[in-house]
Amino acid sequence: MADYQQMWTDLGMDLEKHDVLCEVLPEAFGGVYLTQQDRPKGMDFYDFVVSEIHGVRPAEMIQHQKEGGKVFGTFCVYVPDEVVFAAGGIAAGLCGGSQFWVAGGEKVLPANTCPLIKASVGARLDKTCPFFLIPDMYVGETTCDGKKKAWEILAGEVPFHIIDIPQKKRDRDIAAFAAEIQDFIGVVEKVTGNQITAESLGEAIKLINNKRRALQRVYNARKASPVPISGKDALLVTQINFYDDPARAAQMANNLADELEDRISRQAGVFPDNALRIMISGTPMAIPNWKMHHIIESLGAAVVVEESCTGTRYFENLVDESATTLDGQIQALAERYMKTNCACFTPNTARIDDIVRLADEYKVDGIIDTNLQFCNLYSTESYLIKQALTERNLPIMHIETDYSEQDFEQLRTRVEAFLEMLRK
Amino acid sequence: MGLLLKKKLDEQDIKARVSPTPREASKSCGISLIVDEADLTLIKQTITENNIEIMKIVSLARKEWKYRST
Repeated sequence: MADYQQMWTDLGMDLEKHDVLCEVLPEAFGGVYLTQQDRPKGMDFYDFVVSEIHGVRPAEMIQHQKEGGKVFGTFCVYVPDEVVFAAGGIAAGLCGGSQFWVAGGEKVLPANTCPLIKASVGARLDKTCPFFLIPDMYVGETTCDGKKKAWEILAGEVPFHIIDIPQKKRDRDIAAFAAEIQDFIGVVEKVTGNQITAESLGEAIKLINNKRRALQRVYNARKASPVPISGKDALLVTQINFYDDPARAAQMANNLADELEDRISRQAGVFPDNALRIMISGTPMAIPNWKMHHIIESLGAAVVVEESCTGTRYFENLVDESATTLDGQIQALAERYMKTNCACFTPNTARIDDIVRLADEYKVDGIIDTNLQFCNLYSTESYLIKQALTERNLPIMHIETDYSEQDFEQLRTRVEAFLEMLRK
Repeated sequence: MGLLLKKKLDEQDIKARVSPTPREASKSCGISLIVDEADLTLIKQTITENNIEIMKIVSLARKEWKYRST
């Protein structure tokens, strides 16, 4: 095992405070993950990444910087990673999913800010996460008001670029997003010192598409009954894909998918074939937020799909690989990213269509629409989702929660009652 | 090294789980393998035969896991 103390010191981390997080992780991960039976062997890689969560990948990023490369920290599935990799950079998802960082964010943010934003700001200001200290630049976006204002605070810490996300999905909005990608290319070229060509962008498009295809295979395996992988494990795979090397991420997800397909052929599941099948829809669950999956699966139901940014929204659509000019590739990127149905759009009826379609594809018994506390957009949208799904006789419950343990027992009681209703 | 040992144990069908190092074992904040004490003789043999470098082996009491947020 490598010793990362020196690396963390060089990054200027608060080692004493960071040690508190190190102390909690083994028990938290053990309690949620290592108690599961008959997990796929392919999960060993992801267990390893969690075990060295602040060591192994940060060390690779720092090595990349020592060799002259640049690292970009991102916060949203709307940021086109392809652009960064086309310029020889590394893009790493930075969303904070830990309660540990929330207090640091609360020092500067209003109390009614969502925990994801609080944790992301806290991780940087408290200097307790290497991923937040390594990037040469942060790339934010305008998917909610809380984030927009938080970027202005973080911009005092690190060079920042903001991608403006349209609020509607007309042709002119797609054109506006294409212009944002064009601007982003200019910024990334300046930071990296490398020119992006049609050739390099074409390769990067294939690189990221291959990661998406691998994740699609893992998710397709979850359509089987009995389900060959727990929802917790599938969530962990997606969470780690946000910052792992994309080629390795694709390889590991493909290895796992091979194993899952073999399990399906042998009817080997991790839940009995009569276990309730649940979809989680809503806001992203950044690592190490495993709370809802743990509650649901501890009660004997399987989470078989996540309609979220740490689920299908991350990989469902591919970028058209046929364009051979930069203009054509930028248009293809804009069209792909604008298919992502985030609650920041109005209207956002395509998201309801997604949930209905996924409910059918994954043969779900019920949907638990979950949003992070104070996420006004997803919370408000839950009304329309409930209305639309109820009309179609799809059972749904709505939950608003944060990262803390405080409401764990209440949530468990509510979920238990919902599952009981589904069983009748 | 931890993953190499895991691979060697898998080949012999000896159960082991990759885990963050429990604090009872070390404050290292790194990787450990959690194994069954009954398999320890075979595991030590595997370590020696393959020249695998480990920090130490620590005995931990089984405990009831409880959810806690990180």
